[in-house]
Amino acid sequence: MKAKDILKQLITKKISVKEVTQKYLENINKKNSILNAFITVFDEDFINEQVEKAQEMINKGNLTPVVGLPIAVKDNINLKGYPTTCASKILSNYVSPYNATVVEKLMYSGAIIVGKTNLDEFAMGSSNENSYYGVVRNPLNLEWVSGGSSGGSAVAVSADMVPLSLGSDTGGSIRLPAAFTGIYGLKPTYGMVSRFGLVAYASSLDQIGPMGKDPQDLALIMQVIAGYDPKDSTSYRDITIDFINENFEPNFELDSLKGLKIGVPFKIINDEGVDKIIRDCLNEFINTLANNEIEIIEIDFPYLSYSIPAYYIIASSEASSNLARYDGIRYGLRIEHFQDKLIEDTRTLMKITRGQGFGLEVKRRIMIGTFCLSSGYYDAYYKKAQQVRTLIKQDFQKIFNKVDLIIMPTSPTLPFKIGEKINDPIKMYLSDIYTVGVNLSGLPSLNIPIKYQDFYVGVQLIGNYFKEKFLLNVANLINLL
Amino acid sequence: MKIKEDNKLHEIQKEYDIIIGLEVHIELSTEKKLFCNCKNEFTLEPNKNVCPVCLGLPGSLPVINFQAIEYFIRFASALNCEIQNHSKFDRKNYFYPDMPKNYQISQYDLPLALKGYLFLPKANKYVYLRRIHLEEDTGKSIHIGGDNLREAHWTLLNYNRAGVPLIEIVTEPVINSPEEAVEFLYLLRLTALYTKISDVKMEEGSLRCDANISLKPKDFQTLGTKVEIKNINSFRFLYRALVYEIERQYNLLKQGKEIIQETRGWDEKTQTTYSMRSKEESHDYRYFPEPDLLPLNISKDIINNLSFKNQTPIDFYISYLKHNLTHEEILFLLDSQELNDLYNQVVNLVQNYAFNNNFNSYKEVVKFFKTDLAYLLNENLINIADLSIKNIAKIIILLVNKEINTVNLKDHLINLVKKGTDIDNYLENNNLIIREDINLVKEIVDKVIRDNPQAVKDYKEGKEKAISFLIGQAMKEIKSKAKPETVKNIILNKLANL
Ligand SMILES: [Zn+2]
Repeated sequence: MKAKDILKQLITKKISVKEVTQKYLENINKKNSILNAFITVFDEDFINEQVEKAQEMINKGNLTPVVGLPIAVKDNINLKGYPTTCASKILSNYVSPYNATVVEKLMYSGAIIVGKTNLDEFAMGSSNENSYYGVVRNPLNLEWVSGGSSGGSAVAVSADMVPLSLGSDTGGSIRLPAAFTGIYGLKPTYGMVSRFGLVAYASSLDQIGPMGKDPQDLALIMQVIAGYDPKDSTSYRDITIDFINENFEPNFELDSLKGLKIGVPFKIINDEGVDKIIRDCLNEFINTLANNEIEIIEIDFPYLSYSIPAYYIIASSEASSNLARYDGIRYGLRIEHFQDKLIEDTRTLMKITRGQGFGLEVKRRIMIGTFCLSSGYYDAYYKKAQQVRTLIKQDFQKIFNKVDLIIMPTSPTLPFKIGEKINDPIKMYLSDIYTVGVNLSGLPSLNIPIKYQDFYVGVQLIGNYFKEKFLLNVANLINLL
Repeated sequence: MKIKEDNKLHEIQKEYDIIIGLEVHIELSTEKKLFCNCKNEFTLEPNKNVCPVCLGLPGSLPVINFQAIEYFIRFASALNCEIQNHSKFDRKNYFYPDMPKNYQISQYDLPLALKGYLFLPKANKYVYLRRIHLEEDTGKSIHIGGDNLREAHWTLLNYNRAGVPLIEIVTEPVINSPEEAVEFLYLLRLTALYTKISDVKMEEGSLRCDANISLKPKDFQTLGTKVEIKNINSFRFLYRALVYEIERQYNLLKQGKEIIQETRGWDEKTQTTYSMRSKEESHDYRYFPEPDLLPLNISKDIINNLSFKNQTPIDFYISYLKHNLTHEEILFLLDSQELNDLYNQVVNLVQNYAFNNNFNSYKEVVKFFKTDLAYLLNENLINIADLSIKNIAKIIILLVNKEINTVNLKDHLINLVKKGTDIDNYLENNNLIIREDINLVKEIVDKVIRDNPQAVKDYKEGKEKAISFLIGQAMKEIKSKAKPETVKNIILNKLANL
């Protein structure tokens, strides 16, 4: 069921919050042992408390766009009194003493947060195989990966364990698993949603966003989580978007796609490196658009091929610094014995704790990042990557002078098998080739699932800054074609 | 800051230029920390003022405290700096347990202020500044069972200080003697006090200093190898460590040995410096722009509005030189801003009178401050805030004119100077004003001369001291009816006519 339909039934009291929550909890109970989407499912008391509060809000007519809706939150977003593991051994015993701003807003609005979802360790990965809590399985095919890093949040929605979830997207981490599991996933404009309480992977790229089964569902939750937060200096102060109207219906401005100018990078779509099914699907999709009086304009990204190296240098550099705090001194894992002997020296304790606490991919990125920032290498790597970032931003702005939005694949491949790429990091990194440019530019982007033959193909809609409502609007109209 | 001149240094200075650069850290006394809402206060309870942000908990983000920017601009403008419209924060990465994030938010290539200078009146030279930047302080480590992290059995961590705003002032290497270094640090401290940005208590660590020292042969163009001395926390330590280090380097050079570029510490017990780490062991801080904070863009108008517009300690110093005050007198006044304010207010009141009566009001006021007033303040008998400017001015004028009975003045002083005392009534009621009654004086003097024939005899025989005895005897009865001079003149006159 879609969130918007549940909300309607809740508001009209055709169904109670308890009944809705119960139904989804049953699904979680049934499916989680196989899919491994959740790291933590909250205790009955905590959930009941939220259910009662939401029902009371509804009874009093104190309505919000998410009241009574079960929601899952990626386990790199803090919720007070419960673990925030980031799917890492190093934070496996860490309990957050405070709420992330998005959690605060959702709880205030009467959402039912049912648990914390699995992810690639510290959101580093494209397949959700890099988790201390094990791989997440794809409900469309249990042998497939879910995509990452918000694999748990994607699967939780795709498998009807919740109607809505929150993920985070640093280089495609919402859109890629959305594509692999056949759902919608929105990466908002950088600064649109507060990052306060989101455990940082790469601060200048990270952005929290929603995942769901309908563009209108995403509008509901965006209405609650978007907006300026004085606790996040990088959140936008002067922009407010009304995603929905007073009747909790999307505040969409367009009622037809006619006359829209859509930019399509045909070189990418027809690239041999893109799966044939994805190529065929996109070509057919674009033909449909053209047949509906939509203007298709061929576009080109001269710097796109540099986006992967630029992204991995910038993200790893920031990560090497962001993850330095996990050292066994103040919180989290602390390894006090090594080879049966008490570790006597603080620095050794820090080293051994980090050595045992982080997984391979995280260590790889910390080392890449540390190297890129080192004196003598900074100019050749970090600084150069920032220059490339500027060029990619300019690429997008030039394109948006000509078109209203861009359509391209979310991923060059369909979901691959668990284990298939885990030992080939470069191949794995290339999964993000079409998504990282958006993060480097700070733009909003939405994955929409297109059913093609037996597959869901992830199609990416990219808009200019603050155009997330427009993207949801377009996705909604595409559904009606 | 009285420092003995060192003769050996004069010898060294004949052959070498002493080159010193200082890096000074000052903790700002803002109400809150730099990036969170925790109280910025000195407290004995460990880990009291902490929160997710200053503990660097996962997911927390810094938000700049604009009051720190205000303080910074006030201070940097008082040091004549070029305050930058555009600057940014950077991360300085290194691992140390008292630094919660294992990086420090600091400023690297675009500091908030560049250049600037501080004039040293005693040395009569300008010390040019390279830059001033804003950063967060670290927590504190207390090592138990050893001097450092490696040797300690236990290390206790206190994060109350973590995230406290700190400014770092870097001078050009233009300081040429330990005396100049001490004068610079002293005046920099005063500037911080007068701009009200910090309590600059060296013993509490709110003012800390590192020094770079090298020796350059007189006929050389290039600087010698520099050595850094870390964590200087007193003026005495600064002076002694510099003298020791200069002599150490001189001795090495004399023996034809090489100076190693390194960081050294000061050992209070042995009064020597010791090696902490060599250049090879120095950190690579891997600076990069702080992505969690926006660049700082501050308009010219805001900078102008926030700039310090009052007199700096140097301004006062220079004006006091014109008033013929000595270096020691000036430092006595400047050392406390409250005292200095009081001084200026009293001078203002005394000035007109002094001009008409031809005395140096400045000297007289300082004299009163350094003697009578200093006694009250040093003994904590009264606070500066409770002093009456008007009363003090009145007493000084009476003292200059010798119109006040000084015999018992000390007993009445506290009542005289404090606020709320009606001074005219008080002087009157306690017979402190001298009103001369010459006839009465003459009568008493006659009586005293009659009653003390031996003293008169002694005087006649040339014993000058006898006159003081006679004056004393007369004053006992005369009390406030005449100035001692008047009495003396009358006695001398009488005796001459005997
Ligand atoms: Zn704090």
